[in-house]
Amino acid sequence: MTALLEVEGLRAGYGPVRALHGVDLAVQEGGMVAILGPNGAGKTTLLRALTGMVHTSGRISFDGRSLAGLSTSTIARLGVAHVPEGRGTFPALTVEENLRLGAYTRHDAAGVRADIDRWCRVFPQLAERRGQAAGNLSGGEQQMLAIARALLLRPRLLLLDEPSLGLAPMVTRELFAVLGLVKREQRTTMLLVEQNANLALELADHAYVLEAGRTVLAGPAGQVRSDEDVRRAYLGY
Amino acid sequence: MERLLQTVVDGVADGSIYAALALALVLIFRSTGIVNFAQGEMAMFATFIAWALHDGGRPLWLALLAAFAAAFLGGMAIERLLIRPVEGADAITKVIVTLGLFILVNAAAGWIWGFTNRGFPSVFPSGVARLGGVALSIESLGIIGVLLAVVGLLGLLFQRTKLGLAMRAAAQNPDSSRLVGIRVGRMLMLGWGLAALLGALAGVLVAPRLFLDVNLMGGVLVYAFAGAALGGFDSPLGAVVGSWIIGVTENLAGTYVSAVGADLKVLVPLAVIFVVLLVRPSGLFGSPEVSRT
Repeated sequence: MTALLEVEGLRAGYGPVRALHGVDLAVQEGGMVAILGPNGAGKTTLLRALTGMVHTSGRISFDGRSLAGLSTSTIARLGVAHVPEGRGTFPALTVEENLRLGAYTRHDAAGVRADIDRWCRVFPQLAERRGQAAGNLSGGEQQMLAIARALLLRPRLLLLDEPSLGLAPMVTRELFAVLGLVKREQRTTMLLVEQNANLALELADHAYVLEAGRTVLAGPAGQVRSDEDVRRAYLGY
Repeated sequence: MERLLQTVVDGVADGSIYAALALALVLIFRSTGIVNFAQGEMAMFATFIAWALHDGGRPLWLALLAAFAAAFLGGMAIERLLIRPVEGADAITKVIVTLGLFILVNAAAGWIWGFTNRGFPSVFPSGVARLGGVALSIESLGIIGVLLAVVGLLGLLFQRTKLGLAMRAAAQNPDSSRLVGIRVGRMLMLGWGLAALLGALAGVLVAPRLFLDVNLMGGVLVYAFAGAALGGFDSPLGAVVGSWIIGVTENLAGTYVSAVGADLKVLVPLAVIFVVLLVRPSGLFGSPEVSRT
């Protein structure tokens, strides 16, 4: 396996405030990597750095190509989909329009229609509300819409920022079941930022722990899970 | 009865001209959150381009086409060069930029074409059409027809095409739009180009009814603001309906209320803006965003 995404010495920040102080990580093609860490560790900034939403320095290589300095829309066109924190749906547009926007860069109209139908079968809640404004959906439904929209890009790399945030445990389970399906069936490469370390480590094959903008621990998910410190800090047992 | 009908049709025609400019204001407000005070002056400048070409011997249709193209390109250039740098700035900075643009365009037109009145030809024949025994001005009917066609085309663009969907998305949530691969900057440029085009349309429709000079659009802009405020500043449908109401009210008051007459007509839109702001600040069709996070 080769690394689809390689990051070396990544620094990023907002104006004078630095949030990342040199992060290294690699995501294998078809793999799923979880990023764990406390609030303020720089997890969201890391994802924003990968899609060109904050100023960065350091090396980001996606499929052998440097992403440094590319605009967010160009990075999306290369096949990187990003489900941002807070979901980032278009509240005044309908569910269907949100999904069509996910496929904005694609030109295979028939394939897009088939994919929309497919994700509506996977998320029946969306099918029932296709014509409604996205702003009327519940939090869980909005998250499903955000993920379905990202998948419509047919991404080579899917970035997910705290998909379980603010959701009921049952809804979170359902959502992670779908992510498992995407991993198995689509073989979509994923980078998952998640507070719920237990769930994330069940699904991921690799994990990194971020603290104060630095990688402090990395390894196969099972190994990170059994790490004494991680268990105490993030798993709560 | 005939006089009432004529007044109403003329009012809707005037309202349609205001509506074209009001649509331009709404388009820009929705996409960039800017109230473009220079919209009228940009329209006046485009109208002068049409006048100059026609005066130089070009056929009217060619002069109009060239003016529309110039307006479209000019609107895009203004977005790229003047508005983009203040994109993230606060509201007052943006207002000052559009006010500066107002003065700049107004002065430039005066410098190039002078400050005298010019006659501007109408694309419509002057006579009247008899509809059910009522003589109605062909020009008024033509203006209403043009506006309805424009509204239909805009509806098709925004509701039925991928480009229109992307423009709506970019206006609503620029960050998420970039994440799905939309070039947001280009969408904003396109929005300003379209708005300038709509303004130019208002300019060439109103110029034959008044005289063309550098202050051509001053009054129209006030009426368009009143129409947009009445309809709701974020609603295209509201802008059209609001402008029609303003046009009809203005004409009825001018015709039937002797105390108002032609001189005080301009008080009507000002009174409307005042009352709307007091009673229903979001306008008839404007609605607070529905959202849940």
